[in-house]
Amino acid sequence: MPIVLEKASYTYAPGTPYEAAALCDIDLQIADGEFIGIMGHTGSGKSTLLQLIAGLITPSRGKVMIDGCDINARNYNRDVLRKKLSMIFQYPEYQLFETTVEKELAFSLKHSGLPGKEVKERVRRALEAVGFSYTRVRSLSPLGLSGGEKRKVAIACALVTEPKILLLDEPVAGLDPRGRKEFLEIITRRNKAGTTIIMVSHDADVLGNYAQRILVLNQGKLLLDGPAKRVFTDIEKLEALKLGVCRPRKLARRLKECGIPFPQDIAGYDEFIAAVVEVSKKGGMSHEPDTGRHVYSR
Amino acid sequence: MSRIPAGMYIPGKSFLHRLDPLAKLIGLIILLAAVIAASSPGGYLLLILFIGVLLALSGLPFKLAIAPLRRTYLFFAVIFLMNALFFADVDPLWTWWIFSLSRTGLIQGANVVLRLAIIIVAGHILISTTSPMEITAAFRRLLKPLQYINIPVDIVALIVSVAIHFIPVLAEEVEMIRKAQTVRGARFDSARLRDRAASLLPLVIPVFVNAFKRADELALAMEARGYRGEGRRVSGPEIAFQARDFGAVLIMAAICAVQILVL
Repeated sequence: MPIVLEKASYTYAPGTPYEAAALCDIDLQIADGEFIGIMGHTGSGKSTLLQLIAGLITPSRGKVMIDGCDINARNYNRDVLRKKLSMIFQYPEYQLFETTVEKELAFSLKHSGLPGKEVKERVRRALEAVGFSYTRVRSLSPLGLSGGEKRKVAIACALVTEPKILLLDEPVAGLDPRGRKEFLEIITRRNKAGTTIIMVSHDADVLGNYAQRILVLNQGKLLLDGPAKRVFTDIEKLEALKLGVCRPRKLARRLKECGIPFPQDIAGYDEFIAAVVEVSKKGGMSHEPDTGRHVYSR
Repeated sequence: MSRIPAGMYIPGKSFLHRLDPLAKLIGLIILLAAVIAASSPGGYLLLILFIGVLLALSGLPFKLAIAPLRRTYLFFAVIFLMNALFFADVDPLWTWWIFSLSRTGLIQGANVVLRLAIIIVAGHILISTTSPMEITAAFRRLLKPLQYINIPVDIVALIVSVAIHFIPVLAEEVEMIRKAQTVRGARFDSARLRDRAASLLPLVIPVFVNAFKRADELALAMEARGYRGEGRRVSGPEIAFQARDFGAVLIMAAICAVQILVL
């Protein structure tokens, strides 16, 4: 298993009055090429989990293994991890500092040992992947760009190392609907090309539509872990925790409440539409609602 | 935030926590005077004992109270060596090349280091037992007499309070950017000095850019809420000196007077 967490725990500021357990005995295995979404309230340990996997913090107890190596072992070469793994933080545009966009991206490749020509080629590819024209933006100052463009440059900075694993911490926060869609398309393309994606988000709709597997964290513990469809099937449990549920799943429940035999293992819009087509073929949609209410009332 | 930044307020209910912040501030100033005047071993011993008593009164864990010393030991070592090795004295104990170790130099070095260490721990105790808001309020009360010579005390106090307020915010931001750049390959914890120097710019530039942006936003927000420099504003309940505050300042003054005049 490429990413394995064994009983990983993390405590903030141990031994002081500010001590707080952020994660508790997390056992987790993630295969290559998975698209994982992490849900949970603020303070549930989502970001801490990402930072553990990224090797930014060392677990208080337990192990984090990537491709069979304990990344916190004394003899582990961190440069190997940096080449394999990238992370996009919340508001990644705050990290920009170079004088030109090209240099900004090349910074991530500084220790890669790649020849100059290859660096240039990768910078070009990464900029084009986020929808920039290489010749137009390469010599602009990243700090002078607009908010949305800055965000794109920061995303390109994470893509330029062509990582095997990409961690995303609330990546769509503060993006407009178009920017959000563009971003998710970029990430989906990466995932189709074989990159493992682990994305933390508050937005259940985004997770339901894009992630294959969903982890639900609650108070530092892994509460649910499974395919998106299955996790959202347990809608009562999610609502009891006051967590968001994706809209297609809620619609499926409304349909069922109206007496339509509608499948409940729904996470994304595509699945929802497919189910509608399936049910209508069987003539299920013409069913007179038991409640006498229209499906879309209220 | 993986560790507590130096100088963070630690809530508590100890005697020092409950003392009027102004009394603590005056106490610190008296203590500073005593430290600067100290020179004999007896004087230092008295001051160190006194700091020990303060620590006990503060209820802070010992490890936390001396944390700033452990973070700055290198600085102390350099100061001590500079004094010990470069003090021009008539009869050095040992000379080699440009270095000359002398008795006076050693004493001078020990003096400077002891003084700084006591000041740092004393300041740390104040900051750990007093919330930033309280410190600002105390500062404002302390400076109040200056109003009569046309010094804008309220504005100065506001500047200090904003500065203090933003320390933890900036500390958190530094931490966040440090992590972001680490993922991008910056080597902050490399053993090689060159790597560490090279990773300084990627940290400092974003922090500065964001700090200025934040300052702009704060100014806008303050104006939007009707802030003007002039006029008197109130902030929280007014505190008055109580018997125990007078007592604390008097005891402080007495101990420091003994230190300065007798030892």
